Amino acid sequence: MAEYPMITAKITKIQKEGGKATTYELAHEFNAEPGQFIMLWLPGTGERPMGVSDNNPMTLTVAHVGTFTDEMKKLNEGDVLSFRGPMGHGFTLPEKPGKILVVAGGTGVVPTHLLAQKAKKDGHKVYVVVGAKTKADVCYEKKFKKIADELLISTDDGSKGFKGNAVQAAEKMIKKHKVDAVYSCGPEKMMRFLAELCKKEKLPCQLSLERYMKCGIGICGSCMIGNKRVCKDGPVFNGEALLTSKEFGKSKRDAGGRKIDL
Amino acid sequence: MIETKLFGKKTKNPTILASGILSVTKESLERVAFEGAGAVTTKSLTPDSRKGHEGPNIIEVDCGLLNAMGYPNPGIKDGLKEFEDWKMKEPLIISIAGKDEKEFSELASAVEKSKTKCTAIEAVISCPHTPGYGLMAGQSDPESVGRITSAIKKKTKIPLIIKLSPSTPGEVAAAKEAEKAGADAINMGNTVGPGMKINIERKKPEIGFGCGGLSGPAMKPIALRCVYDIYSEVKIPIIGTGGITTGEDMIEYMMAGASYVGIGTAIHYRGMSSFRRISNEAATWLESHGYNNIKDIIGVAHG
Repeated sequence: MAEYPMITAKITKIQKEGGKATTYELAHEFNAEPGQFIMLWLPGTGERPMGVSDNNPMTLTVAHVGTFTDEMKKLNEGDVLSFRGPMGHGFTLPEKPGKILVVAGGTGVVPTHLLAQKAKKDGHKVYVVVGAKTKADVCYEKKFKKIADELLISTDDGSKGFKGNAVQAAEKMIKKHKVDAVYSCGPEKMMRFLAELCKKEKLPCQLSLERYMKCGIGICGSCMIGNKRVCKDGPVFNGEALLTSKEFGKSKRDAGGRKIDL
Repeated sequence: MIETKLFGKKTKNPTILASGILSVTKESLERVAFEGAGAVTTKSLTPDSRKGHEGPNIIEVDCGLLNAMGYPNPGIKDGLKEFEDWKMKEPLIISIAGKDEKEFSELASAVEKSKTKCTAIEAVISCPHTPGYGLMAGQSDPESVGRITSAIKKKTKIPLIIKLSPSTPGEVAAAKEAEKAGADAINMGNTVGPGMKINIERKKPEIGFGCGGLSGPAMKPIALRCVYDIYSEVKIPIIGTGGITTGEDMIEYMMAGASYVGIGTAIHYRGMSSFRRISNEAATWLESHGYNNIKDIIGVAHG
């Protein structure tokens, strides 16, 4: 039997998000651990890794950044989506209830939302930073408000919330709430700065990475960072370990395997 | 017990990472060597960079995987640079894929002149799912195999492995032509097929390319039979590849006539430590059956 059979489910709701992203709710109860991902299949177009922000109903939020995600604009409520998963190794929450900080940049809100939900359920205090370039790019404000003990929105231009980047906002929250652990998904350069901050503050941090993925099941080797497979060993890695990588926040591989700058 | 030699170079066991699996980057190959592979093979390199087919690229089927990658690679120049300074003691095999003997001879020449030091070149002429290459270009026909082998041998003194297909009739004749033209080893073989899976909900083939090569336990009896038949007719060593998941599978292939075994899909079932586990299981079997050298079982099924 297949470990990752293709699942097909109907889209029940399509909703616009900040940053021109779109949220798709599916008539499906899923079982992803926070940080795990799916391989989403659009017949005739291809297959791409996507995060999951809610299990029930299963929810995806997609930034339209290329041909694959542009193709998704054609979908309507009542159409179906097909996917395999959940795949990969997700976030691990502290065993004892404590205080955690979640830092989401852009559509990094997706896996971190599922994490915040679980953390809250497990009895943790959950503090959240949602970073964006500008007010119009902010995603998941309402969703995080429902969960967070405090939500700090940061925009680079100061058009909403804290003026500055997400790492500066995170620093403020770390100092204010004396958190025990930090979790993040967002632009990799931002996460590199965040990992450095956490190292300085002696805080454990877990970061979710993105790489070009072809198989999702740990076979093809297209998503390597150092000697780790992002799809199978990750996508969530320990921040301190990542800081020893020459590639983290610096370079990735293209579809053909060539090294390119981030 | 299971130590052997690959073209004069000592290896800790006869397992070789099959091309196309976890072989895009040097650090990936280093990890595979660390996880127990006796030797490793790079992703197949073509003259220019290729993105490969659109996904899904690899899907699960009963007892195996179907894949249609379409040779994604950065091209021979950047590819060779990627694998420069290979310092591990496990031999490095560079896989090349050309559209015709001219491309193959250019690729061989590039490897010969490169600073990247490898133990062998593997020429793959048997991919079942990439237009212009392998089976889709008739490269596995015995006459074509001979021409491609000669063209490569003219350009390089590096030992040459020819990777054949278990899917086309005439595989024994193809192996004989490769040997006659100077090949130093045969790899039997590539994936079987192409095969197909249709997603009945979407009413469409599930592999992006439509069809793909079958690997894993489902194809083992076919590649194993090919190894057996080729062993009867050629003297050069054979790498047996196809569905090897346990130590017993490895013993079986070696009894059929393989001197080495290629491993890939096993990683899906048993993780990256498959190499170590399969080797250890084979060693245990040998010990319990009174053997003290794995070479003593090569070809014994031919009695």
